[in-house]
Amino acid sequence: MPRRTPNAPSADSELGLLRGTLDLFILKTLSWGPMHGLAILQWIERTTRQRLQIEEGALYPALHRMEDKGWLDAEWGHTDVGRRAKFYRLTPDGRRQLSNTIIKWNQYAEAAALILSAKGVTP
Amino acid sequence: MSKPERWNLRRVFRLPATRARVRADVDAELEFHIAGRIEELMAQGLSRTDAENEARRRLGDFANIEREVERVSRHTERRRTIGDHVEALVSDVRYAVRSLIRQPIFTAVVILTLTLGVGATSAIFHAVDRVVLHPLPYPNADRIAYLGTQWGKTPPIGAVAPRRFQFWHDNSRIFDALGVSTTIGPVVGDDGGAPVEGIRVTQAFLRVVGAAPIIGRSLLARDYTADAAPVVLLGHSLWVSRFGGDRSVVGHTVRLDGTTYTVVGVLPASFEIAELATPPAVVEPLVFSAKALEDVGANYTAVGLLRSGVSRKQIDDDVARMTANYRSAFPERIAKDEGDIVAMTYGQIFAPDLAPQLWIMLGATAFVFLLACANVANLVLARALTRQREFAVRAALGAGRSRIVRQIVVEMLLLGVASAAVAIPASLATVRGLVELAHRSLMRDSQLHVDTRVVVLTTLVAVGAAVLIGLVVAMATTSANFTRSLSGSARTNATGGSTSHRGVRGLLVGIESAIAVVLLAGAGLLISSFFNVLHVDGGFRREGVYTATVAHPPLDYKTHDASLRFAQQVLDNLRATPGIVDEAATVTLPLQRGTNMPTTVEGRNDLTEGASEWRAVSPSYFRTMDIRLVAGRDLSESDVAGTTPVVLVSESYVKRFFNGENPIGRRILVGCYKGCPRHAWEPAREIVGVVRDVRDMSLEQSAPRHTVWVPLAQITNDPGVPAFVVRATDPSVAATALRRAIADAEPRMGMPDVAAMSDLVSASMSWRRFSTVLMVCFAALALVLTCVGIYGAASYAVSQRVREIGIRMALGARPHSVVALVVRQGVMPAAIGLCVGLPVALALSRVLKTLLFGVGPRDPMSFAAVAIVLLGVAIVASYVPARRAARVDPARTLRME
Repeated sequence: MPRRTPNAPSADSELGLLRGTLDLFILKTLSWGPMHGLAILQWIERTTRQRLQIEEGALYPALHRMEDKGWLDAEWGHTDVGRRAKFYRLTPDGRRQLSNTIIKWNQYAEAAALILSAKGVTP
Repeated sequence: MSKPERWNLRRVFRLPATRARVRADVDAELEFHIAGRIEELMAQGLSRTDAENEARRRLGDFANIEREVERVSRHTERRRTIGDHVEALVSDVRYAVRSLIRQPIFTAVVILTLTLGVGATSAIFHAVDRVVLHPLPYPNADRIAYLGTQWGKTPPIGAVAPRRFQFWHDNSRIFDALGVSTTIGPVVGDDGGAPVEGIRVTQAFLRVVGAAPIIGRSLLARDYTADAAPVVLLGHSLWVSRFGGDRSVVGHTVRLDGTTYTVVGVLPASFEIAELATPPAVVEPLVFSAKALEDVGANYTAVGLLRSGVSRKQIDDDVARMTANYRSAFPERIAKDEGDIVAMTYGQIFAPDLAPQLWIMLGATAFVFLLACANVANLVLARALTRQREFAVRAALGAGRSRIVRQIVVEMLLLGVASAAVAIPASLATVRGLVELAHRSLMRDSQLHVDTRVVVLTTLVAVGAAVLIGLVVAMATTSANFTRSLSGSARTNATGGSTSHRGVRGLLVGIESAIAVVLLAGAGLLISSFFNVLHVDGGFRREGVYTATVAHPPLDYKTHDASLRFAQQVLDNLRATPGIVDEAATVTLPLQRGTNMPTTVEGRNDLTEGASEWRAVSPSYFRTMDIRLVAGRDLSESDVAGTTPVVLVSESYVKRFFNGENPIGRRILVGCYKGCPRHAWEPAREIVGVVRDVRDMSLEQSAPRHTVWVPLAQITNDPGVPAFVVRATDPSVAATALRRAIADAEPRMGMPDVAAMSDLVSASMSWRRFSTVLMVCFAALALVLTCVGIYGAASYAVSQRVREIGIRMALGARPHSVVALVVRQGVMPAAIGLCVGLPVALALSRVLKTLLFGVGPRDPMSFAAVAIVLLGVAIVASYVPARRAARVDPARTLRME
């Protein structure tokens, strides 16, 4: 069976979101425990102090794509106020993906920092 | 933070997500999102309308997201469902393999039983397919039909006269192409190689059978013109043996029987025709001369390629139309007793005796197969019953009934696959022996290739049967007594549900017995027939008689005079050999294909028949073969060319044409039907003697044929070099004497085929031997399987009733009464099966009628024997467990609780 995962629309807003970053944020957010989609969004907004606007339209396709990849599990449950919502949580695969991505991100950030902080070298 | 409270029931129960379900989930999720946002925004002070607009704006194009998410979700669901199935199947298979390995005897017996049932069916089906249905590797085999000739109600023969073919070729509407062939040879080349066999064919023939040369060209219209140079297509084997597979062979010449032919092409190795056991070595153009067209003899094989989509009815209609047209177009030929044309299948022409036998055997294997299935069901049921506790425990641990049913079915699936894996090679190995047992010449190497249809069918039948049995048994055993057997003790088993299971097992044993009765009856009738045929008095001597046939006489033996001089010399040589008691020459050996000849009583054109048996023999033939003279005189050495033409006739001939009158001195016209108005074939012959009737066509011929015996020295046609028979005291003396006498008379004759008369008799019974041996094998198999079934059921019953037996014995029952009890119960289902099977066997034995000889299809002796054998086997099979029951120690069984 050909495996076709829909491409997530590239997310960019005021502070432009690098490709793949949304996945990482979702993984990180869910590492605290199961959450529904809106809660994930609110948590990211709160944590970045509203500086990072996630395009909401990209969130749900991303969540489902990650579920398809086996990084997330989804179950229907009830919120504190008794409303029915779909909760996502990390699978062991998702946890592994998270730590791998964090390592890569840090390496990337270090390299980027080195370049950006470099003093000019006179020929 | 909230927690999930409810699991997806569909997932828990591994139910597939529906499309609507996925969509509803996505909608609910997005609606929840918007509702949450609205609350949040309203808390920040927005009005309800503004909050709603803002929330929808932030989410973006709702429908788009919905579509997107739905697509991913459906993909996930699909993958998950497949994953679930694979995972479950793998675990079931693993479990099944483990549990089958734990019980190797059960596994082996089930596989063996299924293999026997399926393998027998497959082998016979293969044989039927190969011999009757699709014998030749022609590309359009399904559309090929043959024309045959039929006289009145007698069975048709698969050959036609040239004029007949021509008329059909020009007027029939059902064929795309209609070709004709005739065999030639053996023809001999000038290079001294072995003689080869070939065919002559019309141009259309090669089209009908789809034969295309691998080198060079096919036969073309110009090869069929009157002044065409002789051309030939080479068979693959001759091309390899004589030309070393030289690809530039086209244009070379070969000399065959003194004529030079130019090679125009080479046919593929796969090209075969039915009349020759090996592919033809040469294929020449066949052109009917004006003289050949006048010949009324049916000596050509007509084969046609039916137009696609022609129905059986269209064929019949065309045959009727053509017959009527022909009859009005050629009344004088019909008057010559030419017979009528019929459409025939390959099987009807080339395996007329074998085809019905094979179908009957296929029917018999169906019974063997059913019996095997009943036996397997019995075994599986027994095993399922002993596993009740295991199932109950699994059920208590949460396995649903379907899960346990599935497990049994998976086990049976594995057993079915294993059986097919054993049965397929086994049946392929058997089929050759099978058909050789029937008739050597009918089996070709090309027919032994593995046929995918047979393989697929065998697999389907084996797996299908196994799975079906598993399903039925699983449904039955898991139905009601789950909980009962969990609380289970010997007592519940002895009184509760197992009674009905005993009933089921009894039913299965009954079915097995009934099937065994049918097969045993068939075998019994065939065995009786076989011995009846063996003891038929053919009217000629078998013991101490030896025969010799010359296979390939040299080319110059083309006249009767040459053959006669040779025969005379051989007989003189034999007469001078010590140890040879009598010697004779004959054109036709007993039990070989004879010659038909019309005869008419001179002056009485109404006393005539189209096909009397014609035999040409030397005078000593009757003495050698011990055929008694009833009236008149024997043939004598003085009955030679130039003296009064004489003839001996058989008793039945006298009965037919000289009702009560003395035939001696009367004259008959041989070779003439209803008199010979224009040109007599030979002069009238005077009847000088009457001999006893013989059955020399076949021991099974229902009535002796009206036979005319003419002196070999007086015939005017040329039937070729005759065969020789001698009576000798010692087989080795006879064989040596025959070989030497022939070699001394003509060194170029080559090695003759020497055979004892008793061997010829035996060979003539090969088809009968085939069906008898096969049916006996089936019956024996049926008996063994039934025996196992009865034994198993009785053993099970004893094991279930140990306590009851113990109590009976404690209360004073004697061991022999316990034995009687168990045996009675063991024999009962077999007896009921016998009562059902006997009428079925009586009804079915009618289809065996064509195979029976000297015994009616309702022979009381055979059926009585069947009943005795079956009951005997049932008694023996249940006696063993009965003895065990009688040795039960009452004290111990009572303490068991």
